[in-house]
Amino acid sequence: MRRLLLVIALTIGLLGLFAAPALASAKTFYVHPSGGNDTTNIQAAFNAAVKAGPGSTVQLGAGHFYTNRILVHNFKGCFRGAGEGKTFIDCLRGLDPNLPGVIVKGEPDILPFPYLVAFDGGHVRVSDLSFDITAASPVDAAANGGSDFLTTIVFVTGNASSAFHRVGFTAGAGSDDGYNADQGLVIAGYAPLDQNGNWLSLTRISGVESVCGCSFAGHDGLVVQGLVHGRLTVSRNVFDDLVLSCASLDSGASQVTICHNQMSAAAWDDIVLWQGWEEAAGGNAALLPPLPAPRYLISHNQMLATGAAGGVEVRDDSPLFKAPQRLDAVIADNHITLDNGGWDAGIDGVYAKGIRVVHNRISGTGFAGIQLGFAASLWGMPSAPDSGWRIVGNDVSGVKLATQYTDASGAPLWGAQVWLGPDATHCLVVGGCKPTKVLDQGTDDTLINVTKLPLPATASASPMGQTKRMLMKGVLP
Amino acid sequence: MKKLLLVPVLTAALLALLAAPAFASPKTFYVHPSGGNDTHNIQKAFNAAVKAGPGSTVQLSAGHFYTNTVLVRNFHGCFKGAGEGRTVIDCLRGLDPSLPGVTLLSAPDLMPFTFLVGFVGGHINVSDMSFHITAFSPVDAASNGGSDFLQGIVAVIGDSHASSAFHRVSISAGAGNDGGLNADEDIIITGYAPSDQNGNPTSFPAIHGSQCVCDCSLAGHDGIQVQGLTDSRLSIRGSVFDDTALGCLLDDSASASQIVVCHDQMTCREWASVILYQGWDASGNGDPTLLPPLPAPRYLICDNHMLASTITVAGTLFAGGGVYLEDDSPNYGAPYRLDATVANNTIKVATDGWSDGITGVSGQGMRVLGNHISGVAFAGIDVGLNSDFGYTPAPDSGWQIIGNDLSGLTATSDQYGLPTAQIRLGSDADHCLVVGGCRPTTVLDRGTDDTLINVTPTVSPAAQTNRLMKPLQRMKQLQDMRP
Repeated sequence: MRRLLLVIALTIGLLGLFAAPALASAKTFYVHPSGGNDTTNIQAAFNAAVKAGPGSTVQLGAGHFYTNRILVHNFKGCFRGAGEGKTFIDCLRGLDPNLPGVIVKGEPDILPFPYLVAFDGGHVRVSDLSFDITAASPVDAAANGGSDFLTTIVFVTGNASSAFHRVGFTAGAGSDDGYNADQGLVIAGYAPLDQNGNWLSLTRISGVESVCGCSFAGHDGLVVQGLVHGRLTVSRNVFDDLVLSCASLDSGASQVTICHNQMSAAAWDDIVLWQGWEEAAGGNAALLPPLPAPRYLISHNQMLATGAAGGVEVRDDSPLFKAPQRLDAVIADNHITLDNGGWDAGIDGVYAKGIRVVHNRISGTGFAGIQLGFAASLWGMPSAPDSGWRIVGNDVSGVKLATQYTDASGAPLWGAQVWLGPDATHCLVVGGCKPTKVLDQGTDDTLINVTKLPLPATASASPMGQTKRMLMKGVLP
Repeated sequence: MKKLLLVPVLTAALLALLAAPAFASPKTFYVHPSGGNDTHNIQKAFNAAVKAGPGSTVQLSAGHFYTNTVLVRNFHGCFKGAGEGRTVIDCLRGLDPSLPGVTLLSAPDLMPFTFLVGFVGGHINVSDMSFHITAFSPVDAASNGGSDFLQGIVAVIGDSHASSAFHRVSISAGAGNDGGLNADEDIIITGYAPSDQNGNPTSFPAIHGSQCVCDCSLAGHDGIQVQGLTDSRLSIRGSVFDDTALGCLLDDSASASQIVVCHDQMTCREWASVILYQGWDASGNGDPTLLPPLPAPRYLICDNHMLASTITVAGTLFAGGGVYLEDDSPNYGAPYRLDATVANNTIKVATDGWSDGITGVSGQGMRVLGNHISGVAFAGIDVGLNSDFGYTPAPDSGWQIIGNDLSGLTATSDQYGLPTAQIRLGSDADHCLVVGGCRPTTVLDRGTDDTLINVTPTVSPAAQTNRLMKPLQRMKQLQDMRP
C-alpha cells in the first residue's frame, strides 16, 4: 500500500510537470498526420478551436497531411504548421488519385467554387506551413461542371481579416493551363450571382489582410477582390506564376501596400490593379467599387515579365460607365525586367487618372517601358482617357524595344520607352538621370528633360485584344 | 502486485497523453509574471529558446513583468505576449524605485548604451505586447556616466547580421530626465562599430537584415532609430507615433537598401516625424570613411499622416517638422548618397512658422510629389536653406517638387525674418523643378537654374540678416547626444 501511494504521488507530480505547458496553451489543438485521410481530424480541430473561443490555435505537426475541403466559420485564432517545407498540406487525391475529390457544396454566403481550405469570417493567422497540391485532378469534376481543378487553394471570405506569414502555396500539374489550381490564395467577399454567373452586388470584404514572407508558385498567386474600408499588405513574398502574381480588384476606400516582393509572371502581369472587374462582366455600373478611391502603394518590388506578360497593369473602367475614376496609385522604386518579345510593357495604364510613376527602373526587351492611353488604338478596347499621370525620374534607358504588333498595312508597330498613346491627356513626364525617349501621341501633355520622338507616319494600328495575345502565346486553352 | 502494475501502466498512459502536446511544441517557453523581479525568468526562457534552436518561441502570458536588462544573442524565433495592453513589460524600478537599475553592459559586440531588451544577431519576431517604462530613473546612473535614462527600450544590434519584425507592439516611455522622458529611443536597430576614446565610431556600423515595424504604437522621446542598414530592407507601416523629438530617424543607410515608411500616423514636436540623414556617423569626427557605402538607398515615404507641433522643454521652445532630409556627403567631396521619394503624405504644421512641412538640407534629386501640407509654417517645402541661415552652404540639386497641394498652408517669416513662400527654394537650391498641382502655389526661388511651372513666383528680396534656426540647433544637440 505504501508503494502504491508513492506511485500515485509520483504520478501526480509528473502529471503536474508535464501538464504545465499544456495548461498554458489550453486552447491549442494539435493535429498530427495520420498517413491517410486527415480531413476529419483537421476539421474537428478547427471546430474545437472555434468553440474554445478567440485566441485558439490549430497546430499541425510536421509531415504530410491529405485533406479534402475544410471550411471554418468565424475562427479567431492561429493555424500553424511546424514550418514551411516541414508541414505539407495536400489534397486527398495527392495520396491516391482514386480517392474522392474536392466537391463544391452550395453554402449560403460563400462563392460557389472549389477550394481546399476556406475561412469564412473571423480573424485568422496562418503561418509556417506549405500547401502543395500534387494530384492532377484534385476536384471531383462531376460535381463541378466538368472542371477538375481548384479555383483556389486557400480562400478567405466573409467579413474576415487574415494574416499569412511564411506559407507556401504550390500548384502542381493539372488541367488549368497546366496547373491543378487557379489561384494560390483568394481573399474576397461574397455576392450572389444571377443565372448567367454575373454578380448581383459587389463582393465586399472589410478586413485587415496581410500576406508576408510567403511563396507562391502556380497559375496565379494572390487575388484580392472587393476590399472595402480595409487594409492589405503584401510584403516580402516570392511569386513565380504563369499568369499573374498579385491582383487587387475592385477595392474601395482601402489602403493597399505591395512592397519588397519578388515576382515573375508569363501571361498577364506581375501586378494587376483593376477597378471595375465585376462590372465588366455584367456591364452593371452599380458594381463599381465605392469611392473614395483606394490608395495603392507599389514599391521596391523586383519583377520579371516573361512570355507575354508585363510588370504592372493599372486599369480603372469607371470612365466606361461615365463614373468618376476610382484608382489612386503610387508606383515607385520597382525594378522591372522585361523579357516578353514585345508583347507588353513594364507599366501599363488603362483608363486611370493621376497615377504617379516614380523612380522605377525598367529594362529588358518589351513593347514599351511605360505606356498609357493606348488601349483603344493597340488593343481595340473602347476609348477613354488616361489623364494627369505624373511619370517622374524613371530609368527606362535599358528598355530594348521589340514588337508583336502590326499596323493596318502589316508593317511592325513600335512602342517606345515611354509611350503616351492617343488617349493620354494632361500627363507630365520628367526624365531622370538617364536619357528617356518619349513618344507622345496624347493631348496637353508636358515633357521635361526627355527626348521627344517624332510621331510615326502610320497612326492606325491593327488592334489586338489581351485575350488574343494570351491565346497566341498558348497561355489560354 | 496486480494493482501496483496497473498504476504504472496508467501513469505511463496519462504521461503519454499529456506529453503529446508538450512534445508537439517543444520549442515554446512560457513565462508568467512573478509579481517581483522577472529578469531571471525571462532571460532563462530566452537562453533555453536559443538552445532549442530556430523557430522557438518565448511566450509571455498576460500581466505585468518587471525586468532589468535582458540580452539575447543569436535568437531565431518569436517573442510573444498575450496582446498589447495585456502583457506589459516595465523596468525593475517600475516595481520599486529603490531596486537596482539597468546597468551599462560592456561587451565587444555591444554599442555602449543602456537598453532594456537587446537582441544581438539572429532573426526575431516580437509581437503582441506592451513595453511601458514607468520609473523616473530606470538606469543605475552610477554605472552609466551619471545618466539615469534608457538609451533604448528595445535594441536590435547586428555585428553585421540581424533581422527583426515588430508587430502589434506598443512601446511608451514615462517621465524622466531625457527631455522629460525616461528613455531616448523606443526601438534602436543598429549595426555594431567600436568607438574611439572620444566616443566616435571607428568603422561603419553595418547591419544586414530584413527589418519590419508594423501596426505598432510608439510614444516617448524618439520612436525608432535605424542606423547602418546595409543592402537590406526596412518597412515601417501602419504604426502610430507620438513622440517628443522624432518619429523615425533613419541614418546612414547603405548599399541600395530599400526602405518604405508608409501609412503611419505621426506626431512630433522637436525635429521631424521622419528624418533621413546620410553622414550621421561621419559628422561625429569628420571622417569620410564612415559615410555609408554606395549605391544610395531607395527611400519611399508615402501616405503618412504627420502632425508637426511645438513643445517647451526647460524654458526652450522646440518645433517639429514633417520630413527632414540631409545628405552630408558633399561636405566630404563625396557623391550624394540619399535617394528618396516623398509622396502622398498629409502634413499639418502647427508651429507658428518655426518649422517646415518638408525640409531639405543638402540632397540631390529628391522627388516630392502629391503631398498635402497645411497649417502655419516657415515654408511648406523648404529646400537649399543652409546659406540663408548662416550655416555651411549645402547644395540641394535637382529636386523634383511636383503636384503638391499647399493651398491650406500659410508661410510666415514671423519667426526668422527671412522671406518665404509655400515652397521655398533657398540660396543653395539649384536645378530644381517645381510643378504646381491643381491648387495655386506660391514659390520663392532664391536658387540658381531652377524651373518653375504652373506656380506663382514671389519676389525674392536680397538676403536679410540671419537669425537662429532652432530646429537646426536642436539637430546639433541631438548629434551630441546620440549613442
